[in-house]
Amino acid sequence: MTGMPEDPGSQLTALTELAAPDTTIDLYKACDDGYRLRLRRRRANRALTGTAAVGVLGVAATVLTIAHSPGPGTHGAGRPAAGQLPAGQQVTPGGQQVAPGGQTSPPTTAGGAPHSPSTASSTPGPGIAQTGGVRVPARFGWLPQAMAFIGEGPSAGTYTAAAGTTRGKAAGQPRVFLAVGDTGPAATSAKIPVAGLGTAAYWVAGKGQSVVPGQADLMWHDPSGKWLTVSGDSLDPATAAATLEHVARTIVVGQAPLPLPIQIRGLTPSALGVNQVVLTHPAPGRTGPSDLNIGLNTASDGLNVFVEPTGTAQGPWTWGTSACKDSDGWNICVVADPRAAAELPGGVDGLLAHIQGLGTDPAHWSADLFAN
Amino acid sequence: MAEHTPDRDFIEFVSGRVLWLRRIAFLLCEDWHHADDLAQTALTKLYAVWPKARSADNLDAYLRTILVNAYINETRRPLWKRLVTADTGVLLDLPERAPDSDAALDLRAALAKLPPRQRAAVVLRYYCDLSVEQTAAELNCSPGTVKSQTARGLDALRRILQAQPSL
Repeated sequence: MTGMPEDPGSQLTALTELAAPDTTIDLYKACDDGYRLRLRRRRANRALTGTAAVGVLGVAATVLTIAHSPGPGTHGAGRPAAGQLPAGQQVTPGGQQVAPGGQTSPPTTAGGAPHSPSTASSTPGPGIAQTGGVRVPARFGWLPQAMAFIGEGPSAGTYTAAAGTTRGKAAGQPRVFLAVGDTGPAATSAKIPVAGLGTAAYWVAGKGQSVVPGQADLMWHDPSGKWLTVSGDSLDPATAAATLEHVARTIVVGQAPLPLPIQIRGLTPSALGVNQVVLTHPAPGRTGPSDLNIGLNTASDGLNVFVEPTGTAQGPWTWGTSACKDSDGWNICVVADPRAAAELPGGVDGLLAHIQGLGTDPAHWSADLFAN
Repeated sequence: MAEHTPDRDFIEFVSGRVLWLRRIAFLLCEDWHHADDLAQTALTKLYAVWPKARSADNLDAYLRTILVNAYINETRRPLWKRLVTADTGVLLDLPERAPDSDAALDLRAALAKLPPRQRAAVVLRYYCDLSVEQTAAELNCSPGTVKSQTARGLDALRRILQAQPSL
């Protein structure tokens, strides 16, 4: 080689396609380590919160007033919609939360300048559960026999579902994923057309990656206008492509309710933002326990509602404020960051009192997360 | 600490992006094992802020920015400087050579000689196919700086490659 070619991108791509050793990246270790990091930051934020208690109490009082205002189906002025960060609050790519008052210094680059937040801005959430209950735009049809559980639900404008052999951690176990959104393959993506899945269907790999059916994403444009994506993890390489194509061809597209085993009664949806719902349940024809994780937010922070079958030991949590109870077959826990807890009417116990289990028979569950 | 169950939407988001992230990291640091470490760090940092980051406009850009920042911050460490000095030209983790591997290895060695921010600018512009403005946002600098860093980087690559005999 005697000089830089006309197309540096091609040369860089070729460089990445040289034989590489097996990766040592461990997603589940990243989750464990990231979770610990999250806890440390919460503790640090808690210390900051203590120093600014007077200001926080003032904000909390305002939020409570808004949360109790009439106006079903509408968000109170000045509070974020579901999935939206509070006004003036952002998360930088460096991972720190920047409060409106600038209490937390943003991370700096090597040059010492603060990060631009341009790539980290948030958008309002889809209003999950706010109108018409919790709904999903598509469901798995056929799945490989080993798939015993499905975790699914909407979050931040998209719907994702994951089928796996186990209900919890599944490192190294085969999984199949489905995502539904508005965005198709990027113009720079490498694509291989796939027949029999509508007018536009491809195996898709990002720029710089080789398209390997079975390892790449299978994307197709549905007549509903949505782009659907099926992908797999730890599938048998010899059959992965055929497996995923069959999964894709049997996806059932169409809005459908996602019945949940609990209900929040006596609170208007505008009192809380709902940014994520993940219901894990047995795959069709299989039996086993279900669980539910709902991500909520108040004006300044987040909280979760964890639902497991009665008798399951949940917690203790080392972060935030929590409260648990048993209700009609379910152990329900509310775990909130202290700032979120301060904004809940009656704290976490107050919210917990509004949550009712609906029994363990899915026939009695409801997609209406909020009810009077 | 109670056992933590990973957020499923995080696993779903990143599971299809590990290879992509690893390759960008490799172009930045020219070592696959180091690339794994950088990618692991970026994923850990993303998960730490996932409850709020999940609603970012462009999660791919968000994750890539974390990776690039992790790389640039790491280059300020004395250990990295020692490793670079020792590793330049030593390409031990490539068990096989693809048909065009000589040219790629030349480029890899040349990339290793670029200053970190020049290398990041070249990788973001020409491998990630970002515009000058997008690259500036991810490197937190002005578009003019990106243009100059990229031009210098490409010029340096040309000079290094012209002066370097095939491996």
